[in-house]
Amino acid sequence: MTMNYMPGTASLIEEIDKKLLVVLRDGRTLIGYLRSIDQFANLVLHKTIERIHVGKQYGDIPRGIFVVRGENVVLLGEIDLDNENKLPLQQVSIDEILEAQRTEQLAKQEEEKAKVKAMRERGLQPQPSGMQEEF
Amino acid sequence: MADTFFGFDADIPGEDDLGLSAEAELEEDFDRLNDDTFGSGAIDDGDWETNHKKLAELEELRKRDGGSQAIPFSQDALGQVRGQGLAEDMERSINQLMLEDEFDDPAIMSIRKGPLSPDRYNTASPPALLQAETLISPGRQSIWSSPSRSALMGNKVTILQRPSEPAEPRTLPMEVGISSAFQDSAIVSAVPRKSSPPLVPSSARTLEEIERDLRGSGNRAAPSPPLGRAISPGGVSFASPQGNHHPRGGLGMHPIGTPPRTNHMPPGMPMQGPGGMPLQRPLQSPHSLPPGPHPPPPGPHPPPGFHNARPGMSTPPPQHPLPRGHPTPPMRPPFPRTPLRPGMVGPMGFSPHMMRGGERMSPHMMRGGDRVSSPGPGPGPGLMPFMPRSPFQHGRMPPPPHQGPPGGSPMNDTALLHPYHRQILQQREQQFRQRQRGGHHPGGRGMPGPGPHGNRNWRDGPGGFHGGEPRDEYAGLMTQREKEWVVKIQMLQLQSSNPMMEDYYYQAYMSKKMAQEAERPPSQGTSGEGDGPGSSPPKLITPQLKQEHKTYKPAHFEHTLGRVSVSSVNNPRKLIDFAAHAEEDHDMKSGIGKDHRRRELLLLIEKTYSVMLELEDIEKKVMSVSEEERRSLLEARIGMVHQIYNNFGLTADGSNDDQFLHWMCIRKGKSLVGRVLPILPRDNAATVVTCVLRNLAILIRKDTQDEMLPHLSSSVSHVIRNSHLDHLTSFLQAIIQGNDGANLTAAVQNKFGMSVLCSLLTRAETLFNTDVDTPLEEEALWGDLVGQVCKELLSVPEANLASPVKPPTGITNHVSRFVDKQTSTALEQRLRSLHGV
Repeated sequence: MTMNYMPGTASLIEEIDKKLLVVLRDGRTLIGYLRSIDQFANLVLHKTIERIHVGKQYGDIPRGIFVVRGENVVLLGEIDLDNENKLPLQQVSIDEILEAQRTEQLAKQEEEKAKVKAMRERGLQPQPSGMQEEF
Repeated sequence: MADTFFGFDADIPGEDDLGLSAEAELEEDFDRLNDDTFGSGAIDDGDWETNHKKLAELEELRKRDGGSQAIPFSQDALGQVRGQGLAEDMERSINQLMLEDEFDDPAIMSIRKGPLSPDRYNTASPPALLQAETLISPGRQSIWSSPSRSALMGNKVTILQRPSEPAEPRTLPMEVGISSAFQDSAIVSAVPRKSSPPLVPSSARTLEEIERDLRGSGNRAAPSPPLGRAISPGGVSFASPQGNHHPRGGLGMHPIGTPPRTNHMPPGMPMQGPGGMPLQRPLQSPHSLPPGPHPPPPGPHPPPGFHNARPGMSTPPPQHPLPRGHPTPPMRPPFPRTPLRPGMVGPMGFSPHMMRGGERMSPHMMRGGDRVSSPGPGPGPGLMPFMPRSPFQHGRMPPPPHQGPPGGSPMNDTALLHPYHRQILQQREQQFRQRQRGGHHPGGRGMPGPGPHGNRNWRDGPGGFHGGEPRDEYAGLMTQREKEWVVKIQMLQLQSSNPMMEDYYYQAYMSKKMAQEAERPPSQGTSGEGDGPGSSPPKLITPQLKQEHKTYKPAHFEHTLGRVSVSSVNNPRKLIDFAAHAEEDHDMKSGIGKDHRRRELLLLIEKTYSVMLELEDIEKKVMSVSEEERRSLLEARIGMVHQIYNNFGLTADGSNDDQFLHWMCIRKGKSLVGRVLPILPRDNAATVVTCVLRNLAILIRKDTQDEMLPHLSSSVSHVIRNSHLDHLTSFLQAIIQGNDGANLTAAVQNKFGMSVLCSLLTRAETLFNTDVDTPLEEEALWGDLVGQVCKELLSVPEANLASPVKPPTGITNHVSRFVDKQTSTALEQRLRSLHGV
């Protein structure tokens, strides 16, 4: 089966009802069971969790059913159920992970600010970073 | 839609018919317009307006009548309905099944195939009641009907019950997800319509079970009937312990996915942000809702819209503890929820109008607002037993006997596909069958890895537990049929009536790939299930697609100026209306001048080229069409060849070489001649070659920059190889006698000329060897000519001799027939030294 695949989004049919990890365009990571797809690769994820990774820690936020517009899918892959729980990562509570994420973002912002400042000092016009985009 | 719903369909319709007949004509017009837009058949399912009206009237009636309304659901009414309706319903639903087999435009499908049709609903409802009994019948209607209805009812009931709801984990059993959360029409339509193979699942619930559940919970919950009625006009009171009648009461002949429609979500609220905003409250939780009123749990609440059906979902039927992979503790959504006030009703209120959108399953359904359902409260406990049914039901819906690859399956349409893809499909099919036989799916995991053909039976059946892992109840939410749609849509995109033209790179890639695979040793079956792709010979031509090409007829409205532009997926609006105009401006011919003539010639070459390309397309096509088409194609081909030859402007007697010489002075013209020569009829080809050879000296001189002539040699040789001695003689004569002998001198010093000479001699030798009787005088003439060639070859300084493109064979043998020993030996030496270079 590795060789053959269906054209386009039809290949996703293979993944139906499997547990998938989906990375969205805004960087979010979802894990859920793929229930339905269409020709646009719109997805319906069931029992979805949003997983936030910060360093070696991660936290899961239950999200229920997720309907994802296909264009927002960056990456999608099946989760290896056998090794799912053998991650070299530590699971923490939602609050903790959110906090960690916040700290991380703050740190990033600080860094960014410092960078901008440094560039200004050198007379360079800071380039707006593409990653700052809010969705 | 709902006319049979409340049990008194017998009288109401008549009334309605009267009222509506006047408008019938007008509506037909609308329908026609809709036809134009959505394609015919989009609305053939019936008149939703009529049905809606009926429904509305029913509700009015109900309101007026007050208390007595619960009656329609009493046993008597039920029995009646059952009696009259069932047989008819079954028949109709079977018809419906067949109707659905046609594959439509996907865009239309979601509308059309949606469980919209009033017909379907009608048929749906009665069997829904009997569901457990009719489980095995082609009962898709039951799939549609019951869960949503119960959801609806529950909805109403809970409104009542809210006040007294005890605090409880505000977690939802998974079932909620299905019935209320899947509000996308696409998803809704994804719910199995075509049922699955007749498999009486051991775990299927029987009517008894359901009833028991209902009784149990109904008794416990015991909401008061009058109350229920008061609040829910369309709803059903839950008082009666015979809970199993409820389904009839629900408004919702909604398909499973359709939630009770109560616009609770902020209307503008998108279902999902660009990143895919979460739609719903957390689903994963033990659904341990005790039957009975559930007050909103303290703590954060999801936005009201998210809340909806919760309580109703709660109790799974005792027989079916939710098998869940990883039971999760109740989860809190990260965002605070708005506490639900008891008795709270959606912001828009709860009115029959709200039902509208959902019933019709129009594309509007997609709007989050009307789908995410109930004003807070979900279906009441009374209903609960029904809720879990939905997954179960379609989880194990026995499929119609004719399952296999269903009529519309891609397997049947594979003739349209590229052979390679067809193979893939067929392999898939095989695998699927094997798997089915084997009784478990490929993953080997508990996961519902449905493979390409997520068929629920083998997943949900008794063997539902694989490898000790819990089975997935929601597996197979996407039916086989829907998967096939997706596959088909994708496959159709690969279809083309003229693949080499429209999709050259894909075709070339595929043929290359297949050629590669064909080369591989067959033993290497890595790719392969069964017959690997390598086993069938590469076949480039994709069978023609039998696509009906609809002509676009713009809708014409009376009394309007101009045309109203209507477009649809089938009739996309024409952006550019282009038509071929006669480009040839003959008046311009007066403007003479060298430049102008040259431009004209270039145009002529271009034109000839396009004829040539067309001709090559025809040659590719010829292989793939039927006998009759082939004949007409061949005729067209002959015409084209003739046209090309005429464009050369040559005459057999060589009196009109001028235009052709100009032609041959242009690089592109030369390459075109090279391409055309092999396909010209022998005589025409001979004329062309003769003309080329007659003017060889000039052409060689003009070719010094282009160096195109050597590329011509293979075509010329091709012509020569197919010629007889008379043609050969005329060729040689043309070389020797044309241009006062300058040709021959030029020829032996030119690669092209030498190649031609060599192939002439080689061909002559072949002819002489085959012992065809050659007239003596012809042979003598030929010998004379050969002698002249030899003389020329020997007289030219050796350094100036050009070597032919291909080393000649048998020339000396041939030459020795006509010249003396000495000359031939000298010639042999010369040629040998040529090869040595």
